[in-house]
Amino acid sequence: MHGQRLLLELLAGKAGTWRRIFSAEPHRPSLPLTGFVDLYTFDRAQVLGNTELLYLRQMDPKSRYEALYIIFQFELPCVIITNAYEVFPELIQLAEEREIPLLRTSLSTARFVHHYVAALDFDFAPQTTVHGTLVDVYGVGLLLTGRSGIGKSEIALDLVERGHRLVADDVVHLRRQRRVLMAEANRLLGFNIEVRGIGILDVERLFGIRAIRARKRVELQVLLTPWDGAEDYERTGLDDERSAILGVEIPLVRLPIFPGKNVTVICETIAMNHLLKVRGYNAAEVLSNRLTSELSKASETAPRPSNLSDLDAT
Amino acid sequence: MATHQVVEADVLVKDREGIHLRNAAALVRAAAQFPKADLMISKDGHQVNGKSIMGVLTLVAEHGAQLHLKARGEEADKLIATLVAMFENGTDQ
Repeated sequence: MHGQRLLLELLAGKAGTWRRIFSAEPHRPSLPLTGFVDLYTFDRAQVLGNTELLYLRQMDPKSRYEALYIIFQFELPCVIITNAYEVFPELIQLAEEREIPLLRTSLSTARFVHHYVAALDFDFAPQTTVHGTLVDVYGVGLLLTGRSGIGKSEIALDLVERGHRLVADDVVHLRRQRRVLMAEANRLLGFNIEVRGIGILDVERLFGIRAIRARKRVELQVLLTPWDGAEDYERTGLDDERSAILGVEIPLVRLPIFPGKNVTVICETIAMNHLLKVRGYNAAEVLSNRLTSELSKASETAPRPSNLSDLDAT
Repeated sequence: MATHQVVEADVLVKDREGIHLRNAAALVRAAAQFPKADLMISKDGHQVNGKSIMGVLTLVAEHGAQLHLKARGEEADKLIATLVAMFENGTDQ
């Protein structure tokens, strides 16, 4: 699957390509080659780098076969030779006998391991799918959620019209990579969106390549809710509500909407305000501090009512 | 008749730090529970819409300040009762 990216060629053991890898970490079996197999993590890809190959090289063929047999007796998912190193006939022989794929890369061990871990981390990342729309707004990955028909696709269309980029509509595939949440569109759907009353629209064809983006980190969730005059909405922005998706916490903005409200501009503003906050500026805090200093000035100068002594007692 | 009632009350700011941003938010959110009533709050002749957080901030209602509440419309009595209770206990809960 990652053959091209990792510059891998299959040398032997093709019959064993059904074998599965269960960890994103590769293993360098130096000690097992010397006979010590306690705690041997044989269920990982086994990487033979300069050290191991040099060790094997100075052996006679029989001892080399025996050393290699120590590791090949296990059900290894695969064995990978780095640095385009020469392949010993014993390796080919064991790979064929044991039906364990033997691969070779031209990358150095360090570079190979780096790319290998990155590629497999991606494969092994926890995944989920959410009903929502993801748009890159000024570089901020904004996940719009809310019940069906509330207008997520229409807002996405509006945002795209204003120069922002659609990542996914309706079905957003999310995966956790290290500590960030990455989003992408469903492969079948691509950049098609459905707008009630019109039907399916191909955003890439309609708006061009600038209107789309293949993958984007999710940084903010905007939950659209129908306006209810009496509901408790956030009024200051002092307390950030947070949402947890796949264990990754992102700020959550509950946005009450009603017909005629320009949600697009509000979404842009939410994105920009997020960027300000990330850079350490919180307008609510600044205003709050200004008010606090005004209040303390006022209480110093204002004549205190006679009954205030009762207050102090409480 | 009840829909046009006007209810008024005088309250005292008991919060040690006055009505700061958080208290102002609590106040306007409490008032928003009564969507069919209007609320005006005044201090020293400066009158603001009691459902506007920015308006309430401009009162700079310090500890010990006297405020006048005036509600009009449906459930104006309940709105005033709610706010009076809030001021009794201190708006910072």
